[in-house]
Amino acid sequence: MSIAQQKEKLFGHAPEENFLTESKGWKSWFFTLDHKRIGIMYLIGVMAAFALAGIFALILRAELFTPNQMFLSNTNYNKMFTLHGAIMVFVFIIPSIPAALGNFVLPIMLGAKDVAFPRLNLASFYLWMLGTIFFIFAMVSTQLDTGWTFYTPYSVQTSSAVISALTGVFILGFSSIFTGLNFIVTVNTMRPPGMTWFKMPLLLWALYSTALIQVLATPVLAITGLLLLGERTLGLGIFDPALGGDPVLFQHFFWFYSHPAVYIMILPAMGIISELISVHSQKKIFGYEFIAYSSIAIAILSFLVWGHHMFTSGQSEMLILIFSALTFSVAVPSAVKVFNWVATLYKGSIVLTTPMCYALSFIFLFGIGGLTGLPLGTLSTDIHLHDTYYVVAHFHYVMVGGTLIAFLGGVFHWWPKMFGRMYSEKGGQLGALIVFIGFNLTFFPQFIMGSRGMPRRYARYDPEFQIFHQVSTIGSLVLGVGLAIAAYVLLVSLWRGKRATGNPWGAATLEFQCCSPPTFHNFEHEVILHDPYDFEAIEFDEKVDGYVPVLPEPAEEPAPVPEPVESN
Amino acid sequence: MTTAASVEHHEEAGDGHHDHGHHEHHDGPFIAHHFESAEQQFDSGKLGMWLFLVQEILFFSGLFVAYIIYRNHNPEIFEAAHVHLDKWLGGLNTIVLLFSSLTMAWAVRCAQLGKNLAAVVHIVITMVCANIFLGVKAIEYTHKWEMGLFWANYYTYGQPQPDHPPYLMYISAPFIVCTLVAAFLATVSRVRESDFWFKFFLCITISFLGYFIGLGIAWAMPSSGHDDHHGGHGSHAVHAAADGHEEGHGKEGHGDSHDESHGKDDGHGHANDADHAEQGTDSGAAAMATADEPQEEPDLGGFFSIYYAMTGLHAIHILAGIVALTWLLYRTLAMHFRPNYFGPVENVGLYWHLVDLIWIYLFPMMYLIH
Repeated sequence: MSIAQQKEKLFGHAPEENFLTESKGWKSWFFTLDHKRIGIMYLIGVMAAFALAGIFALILRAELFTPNQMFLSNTNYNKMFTLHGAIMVFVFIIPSIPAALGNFVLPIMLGAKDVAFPRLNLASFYLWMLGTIFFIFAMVSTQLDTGWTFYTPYSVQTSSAVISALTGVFILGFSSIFTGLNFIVTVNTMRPPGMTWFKMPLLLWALYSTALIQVLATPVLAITGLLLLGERTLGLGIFDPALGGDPVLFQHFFWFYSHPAVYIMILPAMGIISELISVHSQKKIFGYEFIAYSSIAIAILSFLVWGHHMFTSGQSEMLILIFSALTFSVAVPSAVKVFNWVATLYKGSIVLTTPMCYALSFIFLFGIGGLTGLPLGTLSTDIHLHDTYYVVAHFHYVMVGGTLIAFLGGVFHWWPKMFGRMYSEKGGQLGALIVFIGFNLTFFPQFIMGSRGMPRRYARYDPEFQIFHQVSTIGSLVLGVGLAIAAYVLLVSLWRGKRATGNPWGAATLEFQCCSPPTFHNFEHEVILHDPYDFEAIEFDEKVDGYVPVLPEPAEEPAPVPEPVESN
Repeated sequence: MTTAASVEHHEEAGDGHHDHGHHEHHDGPFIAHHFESAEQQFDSGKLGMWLFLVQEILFFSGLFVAYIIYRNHNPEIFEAAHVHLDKWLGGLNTIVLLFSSLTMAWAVRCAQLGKNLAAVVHIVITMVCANIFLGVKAIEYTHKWEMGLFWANYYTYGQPQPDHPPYLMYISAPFIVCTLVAAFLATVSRVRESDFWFKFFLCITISFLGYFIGLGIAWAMPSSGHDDHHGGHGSHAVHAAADGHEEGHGKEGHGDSHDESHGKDDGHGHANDADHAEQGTDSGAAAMATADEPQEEPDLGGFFSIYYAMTGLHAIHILAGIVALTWLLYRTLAMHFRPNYFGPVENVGLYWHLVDLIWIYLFPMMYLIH
């Protein structure tokens, strides 16, 4: 058999059955143990949550168009921003990349058939559903007006639906813990022979670091939520000053989870960007080890900086100084990553595919989001900027400009793999451009008005801030339009898209060695292991009309199954 | 043998947090399709369990931190409050749990050797111990509630107590129901000559009887922490506990009031010395003497909030352990385990040891403060 025939045989045709079609009926989805189907179900779920919370954001922005009341009362405004924040954080961003994309991609990238505990994986998904139902119940009953942080003592006194929302948080926390646990075990024990730690794609390093945070930080949120539930239902008095409790202790507990949670959001996004930048510029990633270790470093440092959320809550000065200094140290591994991405782009063959557009936006927006964090970590400036729109703008640049943009980039990158269809590249690029413009229009003015003293969480404001609010509101509409275009492009591709080949981007990671969409067992043939960023090992094959691995010259007697290629 | 479906069902219903990956298989050796080998499956399950335990420790860590902070802020409340905890009952429970850890480890060994029936015996003893623990705890809790020793918001100690509802009955009701249902099902299985289910439900019934043994022991034990109820000497009953280890405690356990039992405790440090050392508190016995006057007692609600939160959460973990052990019992009776497949026993064992370990910390932190 010649090489061409071998390639044809291995990569030339998609099997008739894939994971989407191998079994039918709603039961085959609801009781599936296949990580790919679970990933798709998560994807649909988190997208729906994102749309819901996004609509809340648009309503908030519309209300802020004028300084006085338009259609939301002060109470309703409080409820609206609380639900926007809580749903975005707990229901959308935290599970978005790890649970939706990670579930789909992680085992295939690793060369495994599935995650280590498939049923635990399905249980995580149903816990996510259950937690979301509690949130929705809170939303349709008396809503929630505590802010997503549930600070005591207000959360003990308010009559809004704190109990059901907290139950939701508790359950979602366990969903997150089990996903993390599953990923750690999968990466540790399910690697095929030859897949060493330093041959893993960087997304896996990022997901692994994320999983460590999920397992180590989330239980603290769970116990905090449980104690707050006890506080409200029984009057435990651990956080309630009226009963001798300490409300600042709640803040410590809450941020001990919720600061690392910020890295649960951003670390996997950084992992996605490492993949996108390298693949779509067809250049070996610059400084692989540094990126890998910086993920771990961020995971460790994330546990040491929670106090910077409480600079004005009454900690000792010594503690504040220590937290401030540690906060700056997180900037180092983040900057290492940005430096390495930019260095990867240098002299690469950059193709402005849709995922690459998102990746470039990410570098720009995350750069702004990261650098504007430093004034907040600095004690003197934080006293001024604390609780203003500057903070709002900063974390939206990181969470939306960072995580959401990377998530979209990842969705566009793996969409052909998930559904076997190519989307319209022009439409995707247009969506990415409008999202970028709309995002900056929305949030950049908030830096300016925040630094001039516009406080966050206020429904009314001084007329001097009106121009910034109006630009921001218009920007949010543009952002909404951009996202709608992106969604439209993806959905249309399901019906009209051209069939995707196994490897449309010329990526060297393993998930692009199986067909699109993958079959139930992921790989139809033995995987060919090589460096995940060695693009020399991939070539375009006209016959297959896609990229295929370079196969070794056959010996006199060609082996039926290719030997693993060690290319470096 | 049984179908994998029902096994899975048990596991889901029971302890949803446990390692799900192992036995998803339908064939004899229980190797799931996505694993290459039994070793890989075992290693995955074990690593998963360890991570779960790490998660559990962090879950409790919030409470430990709260304990440390409140103890530092209000040391006098903690010293005044611990006299309300009966260290003999706490000590008894410590021994019961340690013993159950031994039988659990023994069960693991039996499963490793493929001795399923011996494993069944040890699992049942472990379950009996778990239930004894809960029985003793029920007496402890209800006795405090009767005296108004509630958490912060409902703390009414020292005030005249109105007629209280039958707390003990409320707590015991689920156990009575479970025992009766298990006994009933055992009878039905007997009548239907289903040997497997008869054994299974018989074991369940026996293990639930442990709860009532616990109630009995705690009832008969002399109380050291409270003023009126169950005075008198209870050493008989304590000896009747059929656990040789307890003798030492039983002999000394006849104090009627707390000062007396303090004095004794100072004299006989025995097994608890190590725990004392961990405490590292240096407040002397003098402080305690003053704390004995009920009139001058501060509001101890803060202590009892933490006490109920920690021991309550621990008791919930014991309950989860009982559910996990029930599932193990089922699988062991069905002869699932063999030298190359015993992961579930080992993992439930790890969980059980952790639950014990947490109690080993809770006991001195709550009961043995000086």
